[in-house]
Amino acid sequence: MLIVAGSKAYDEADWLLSNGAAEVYCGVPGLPNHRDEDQCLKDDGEFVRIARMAKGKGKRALLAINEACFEENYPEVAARVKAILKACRVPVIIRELPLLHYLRKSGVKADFIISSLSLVFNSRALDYYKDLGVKRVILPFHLMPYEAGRIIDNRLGMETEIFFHADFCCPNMDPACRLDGWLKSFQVCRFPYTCGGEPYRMPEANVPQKLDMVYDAFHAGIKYLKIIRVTDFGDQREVLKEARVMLALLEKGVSREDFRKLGEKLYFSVSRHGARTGR
Amino acid sequence: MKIERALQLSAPALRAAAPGAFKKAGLLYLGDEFCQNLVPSPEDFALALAKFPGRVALVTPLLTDAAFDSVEEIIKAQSSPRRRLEVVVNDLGLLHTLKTRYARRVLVSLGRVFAHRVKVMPRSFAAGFLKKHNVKRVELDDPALLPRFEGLGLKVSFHTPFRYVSVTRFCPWERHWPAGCGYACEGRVKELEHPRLPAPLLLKGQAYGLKTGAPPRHPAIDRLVQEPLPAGRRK
Repeated sequence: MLIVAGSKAYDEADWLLSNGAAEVYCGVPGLPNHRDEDQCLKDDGEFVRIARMAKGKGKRALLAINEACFEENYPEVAARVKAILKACRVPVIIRELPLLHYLRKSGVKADFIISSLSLVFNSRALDYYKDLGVKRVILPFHLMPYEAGRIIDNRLGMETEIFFHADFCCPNMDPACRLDGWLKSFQVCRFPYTCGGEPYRMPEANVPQKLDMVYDAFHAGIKYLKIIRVTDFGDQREVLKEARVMLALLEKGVSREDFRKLGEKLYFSVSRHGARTGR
Repeated sequence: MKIERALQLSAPALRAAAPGAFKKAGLLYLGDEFCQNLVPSPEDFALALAKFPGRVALVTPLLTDAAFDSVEEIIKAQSSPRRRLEVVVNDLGLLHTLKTRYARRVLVSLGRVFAHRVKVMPRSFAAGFLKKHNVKRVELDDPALLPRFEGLGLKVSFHTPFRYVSVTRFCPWERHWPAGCGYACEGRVKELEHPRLPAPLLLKGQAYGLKTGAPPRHPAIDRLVQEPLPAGRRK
């Protein structure tokens, strides 16, 4: 599997591409993407520099416009994407159907990657996208590799990508989860609730279940493994290392049982995983 | 305008239902918008048609390919141009397939999960998208969304007393991914509390949501969908 890592700065992208990532993906302020501006690059120019640097290394940068925006912003989005693509030909990660149609109508010629947030759960959904310049689909967080066989082996030649679940997986289904918007807060899914007076946490996959996702993704033939953008780059470096070691184990043909055992140690070698679970 | 009354039941609830359970409803919504394990099998759907004297609509969530096959089997078996099957759709693949293969055999209603995608579409695109996919109806559970769908030519089915806020595919009842469902959620609701919540958050099936009161009055609402909500289960 090839690693695709989110990046929020030139120097970080350089490090990621020099240390095992085959691609970096980035958002820029003002172009709709699924992260706050503190996890975006400074501007379009920084993205172009990253794309050129990646190309120089024989690698790639991807432009993320994986969020909805108001229709009145569509012309500006299209103009900026066109300008970026003129400077560097890169694939574009997109979420919203109307924006995808608008960009194509506006003459934006790109290889499009369908975001996990577009919730492509079956191979029939690929038929909708087949004439829209789509070259890759990112599986939704909550779709298991063993459920996605027909998407992975699709007859349309689209590549597939999956998140590195041994780093992160939401308890609920983004973007069908509106808890944060409802309470105007952050990670409402991880609040310490009570139920009948007893503590209650919204359940999420445990470590063996997360490791199974990685094991199954590798053996299902998914081509790309995605590492999310995070605020602390130190954390991301640890996660990249974790992913590389896990992929090396899988390439050696380690059994599921051994992968779980070794993977658990690797999982807890990442500072933020230990912090999240209190270990 | 006469308001139609519908009763929403999951497949396991249908199997457990007493013969008189459906008397008040003219329409049965069979399935679930949030969990594919609660969607009827072709055999369940045939059972519903035998048990229920009125019409039966097929309610579907986001679908994996395996679940899609089962849903398609129902559509093939239970629809025809003379007896169109109403299908509540939350999945783009299903919406696209209904348009390309079954347009004359089904009546399409936009489900509550999909409605949140359509509400952020530019109006002109949404109108064209819905028309192209023969969508004539939308399922809503939040009065705040009614204005967002005005002018799109859709009838509205309004759901009470559960308004969904979030959904998961990692089963909160059995703590695993969807395969191997033991139907632990059947007939149960959990009430979650936290100081910052204005009201308890309910867990019903794979969806978290709120208990709502009487439905609003709105000219587009011509159907009320009642979802049985077990009371007094706090754990």
